[in-house]
Amino acid sequence: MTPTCPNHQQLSSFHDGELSSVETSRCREHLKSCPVCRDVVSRFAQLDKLVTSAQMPCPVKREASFWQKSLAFVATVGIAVGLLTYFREPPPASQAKVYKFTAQGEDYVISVKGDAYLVSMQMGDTTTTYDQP
Amino acid sequence: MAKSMDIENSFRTHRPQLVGFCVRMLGDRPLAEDIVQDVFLKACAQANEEPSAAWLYQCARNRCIDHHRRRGKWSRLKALLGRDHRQEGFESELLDKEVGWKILCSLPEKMRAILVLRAYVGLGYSELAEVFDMTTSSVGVLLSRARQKACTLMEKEMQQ
Repeated sequence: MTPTCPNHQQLSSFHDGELSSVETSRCREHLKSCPVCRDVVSRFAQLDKLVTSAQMPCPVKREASFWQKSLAFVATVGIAVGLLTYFREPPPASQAKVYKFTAQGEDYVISVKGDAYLVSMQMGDTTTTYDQP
Repeated sequence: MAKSMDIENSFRTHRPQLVGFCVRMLGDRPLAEDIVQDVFLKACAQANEEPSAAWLYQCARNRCIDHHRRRGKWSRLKALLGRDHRQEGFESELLDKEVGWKILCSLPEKMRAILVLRAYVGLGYSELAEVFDMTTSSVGVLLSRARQKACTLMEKEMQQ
């Protein structure tokens, strides 16, 4: 800027249309011949445009890191196992099957656990219990 | 009745730009909308006639300053600026908008407010003088300084 140039504040006021009519025409005349001041005023216009269109930046979705992915995987597996454990059917109570029959005039009551072993046998009034393995 | 009609008219006329102003001051649209609502509630409670634009912007600006004071001044905005929000393939227009945002965030509150009120809202020097409680010549000085600083920041941003 040369000594004859309007100062920054005058250029700013000129841009806003706040100078008196005399100052405005003087400034306008000067701008015709001064590329430096023209550049300053054009920057004001550019700045106004930026201020008017200023927008908050959109947060960018970032790719999850290896550790985040691993943690998510472990958490998912943990939750799945927990839910399965909580909701699975309880194991059937191992109850002995009881068979009642009469043979040769005697009443028999036989308790059998699973298919494997005899638990007890009742013949008439006598009950025999067998040790469980 | 006349008073409520005045406030309603004022709400319809000024609300969008008041929200825009508060968004540029706070960086948070829902919060900006809340503040504007508060401003109109205050207008309902206090004003005897349609509130002037200068009164509304002064009130909104004070609310924004209060909010920043409560939230540890600019810490939130600094945290925002600290992150890299750019993404490959973004439109250049969007980057321009982000540049505008970055410049505003880097300015002191008073400079930011005066630039937004002048460029975005379009208030004249006399209205700005009312908002900032200063003379019109001081408004000219403040605007010139704000522009000088913002233009330096703009050049830096453009070079990057």
